[in-house]
Amino acid sequence: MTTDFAMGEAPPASPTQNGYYQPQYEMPLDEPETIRPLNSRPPLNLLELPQEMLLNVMSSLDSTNDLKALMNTCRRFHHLFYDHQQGISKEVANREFLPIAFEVLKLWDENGMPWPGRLHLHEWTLGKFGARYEPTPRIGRVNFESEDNPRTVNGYEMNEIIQINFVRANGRRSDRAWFEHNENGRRTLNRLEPEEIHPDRRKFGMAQLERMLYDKTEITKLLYPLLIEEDPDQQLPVPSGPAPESDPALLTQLNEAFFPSDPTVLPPRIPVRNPRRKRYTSTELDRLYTAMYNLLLLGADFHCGDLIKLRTRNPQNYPRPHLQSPAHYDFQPLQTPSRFQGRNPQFLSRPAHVVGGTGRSNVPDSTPDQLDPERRRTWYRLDRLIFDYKNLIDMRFSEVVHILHVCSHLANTWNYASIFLSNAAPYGVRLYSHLLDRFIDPQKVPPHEYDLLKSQLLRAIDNAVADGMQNELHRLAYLSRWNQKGFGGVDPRESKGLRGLVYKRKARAWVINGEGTIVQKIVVLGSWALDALDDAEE
Amino acid sequence: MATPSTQATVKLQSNDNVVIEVERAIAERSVLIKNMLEDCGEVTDAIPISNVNESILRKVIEWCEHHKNDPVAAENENDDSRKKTTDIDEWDQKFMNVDQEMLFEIILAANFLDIKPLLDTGCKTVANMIKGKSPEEIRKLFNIQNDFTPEEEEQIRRENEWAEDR
Repeated sequence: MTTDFAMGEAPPASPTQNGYYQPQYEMPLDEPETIRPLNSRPPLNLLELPQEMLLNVMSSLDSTNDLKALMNTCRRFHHLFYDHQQGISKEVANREFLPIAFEVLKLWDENGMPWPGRLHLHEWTLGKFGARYEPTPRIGRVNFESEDNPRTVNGYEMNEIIQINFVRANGRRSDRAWFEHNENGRRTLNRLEPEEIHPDRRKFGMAQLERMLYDKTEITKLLYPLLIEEDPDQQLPVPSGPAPESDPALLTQLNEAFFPSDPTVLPPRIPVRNPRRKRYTSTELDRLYTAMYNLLLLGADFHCGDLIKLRTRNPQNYPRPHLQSPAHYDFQPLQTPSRFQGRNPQFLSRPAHVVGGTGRSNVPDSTPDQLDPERRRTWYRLDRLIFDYKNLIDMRFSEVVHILHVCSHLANTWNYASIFLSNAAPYGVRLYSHLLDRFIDPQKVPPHEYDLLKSQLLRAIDNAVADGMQNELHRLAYLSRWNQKGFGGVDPRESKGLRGLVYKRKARAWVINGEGTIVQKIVVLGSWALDALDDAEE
Repeated sequence: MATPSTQATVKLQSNDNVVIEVERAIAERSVLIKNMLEDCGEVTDAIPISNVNESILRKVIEWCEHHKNDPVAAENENDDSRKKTTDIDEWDQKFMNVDQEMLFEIILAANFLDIKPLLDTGCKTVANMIKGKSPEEIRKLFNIQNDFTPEEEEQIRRENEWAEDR
């Protein structure tokens, strides 16, 4: 059959000479119809697998690059990654998280605590933010900066503050990711110059290390394997010989190097490698970091490409002149634990500045050295708590979130209040009490419960003093899990189960759709933070 | 010798109405079937496996038969060992050496029947297929359409710079 119209033109709508209509459209010859059995379905494509299975595939990838390649194939995988690995998208984070962080920082500042102007949330706290698919969370870093709308808190720009670092499970990270804001170079930590360190602070800090915190020999043993032997400025013995504990002379030398007995001598420049590369337990790491941080404040200088918990400190931000003396810790030494058992009326009637209030006027008259030994011990323990509290903003943000979490929990349900109050309080004593006042309206809760909460708060402080921080940390993590169950009836850690997914979906909806109160959003963020805390413990 | 109180075999009916009789112990590798048998007691009729056709069901049974003596996986879903792609044993690797469609069908069937080790093996197999490939190669392998705009691609590339394995 021939046609009298050109290819591509529409055929005429009138009968041709033979009386038949030409078809209006021709079936394309190069696309033959596939005939499939009646009860069959089209071939499955990877993307047609249910989401849980795709997540399972993603979680089976060991390499960051593989995961990245997969998430860069199409939007589906990209969204899966962001929705389920991180739990929150960058846009949502900018919109929802920054204001919360801002609020936290503001509260922090209102409480008279210094914060360094830069907030690093790392794998120990928020780093594994929603990363449930261990052991291969291949998460790098999300920078929650808001350059378009820098907000300031006491002159610090918001976009300097929030930086969340995600790291891969193997603990390696991009140096650049960690140090890109460091104007002094990627592999150098800023240090406080000796003249910037107030003598009282040095003396007091050293006292903390020596008397209060940990056995310095223990720290020496932890630090020793990290020393870098090839460092040209090496002043310390290289870790190639015997273990320090088996060589008393070496141990003495190291102890003296790390913790000079002469308060006028600064600890040395200590070249170290990333502690993550050594297989320390989380407890050891925690102690090590704490000790290193103290040493840094005391003038020691750690050289390391990627120390995780030590961060640059901007001398103009920290220390603040009025906070250099231990006298700025406006806590009175607590009394003996027995005093605070139960609902002691005296306990409930403690001055407002102890259970809340602004606290600024409560500067004790005595310095630690003027206290009797028992009180001095308590003082140092309290100082330890506050020291951690100060560092919350850049070391333990998850706990700040947790405190908010607990407060929000208290504001909504009361069943678990006493338990969590007693476990969260040590991490943010004054912040907590501040928030207690802020979130819980005394007009709306029965007075006896409000008082009870306050009493629990003080008891918690007391318990923390008695038990030490580490136990509290573990208890916090454990009980937080229970709290999650109590909160939603579901443990969000059951991330792979249906219940976990339901919880997470609900949680995401709160954040993404702007549903729920700010308190609920904080709960969501808190739950993710707590996951990270658990991860860190493992 | 005492007769076992539980039935020795069960019948499974695929969605294309083929009935396959298998040892109960093998069928019980499926948590779904195991629970069903526990709940219903003696089941003489064929159990309809509505989401699985005969060929896939036979494949799944083959896997269950081979693994019938394996210890039951722990409840703990966060068990690290489940996640490593390198621990697929040789038999499983051969078993999973099928075309993509069948592989995905096996994964779906394993999910439906609640056979976690098989599900994991299937997902690990897919993960192994992805390993070492570029996004473009993955797209080609799985017939995935690139639905990113060039701007989005560029943005993703920038966002992911940090994550280079070094």
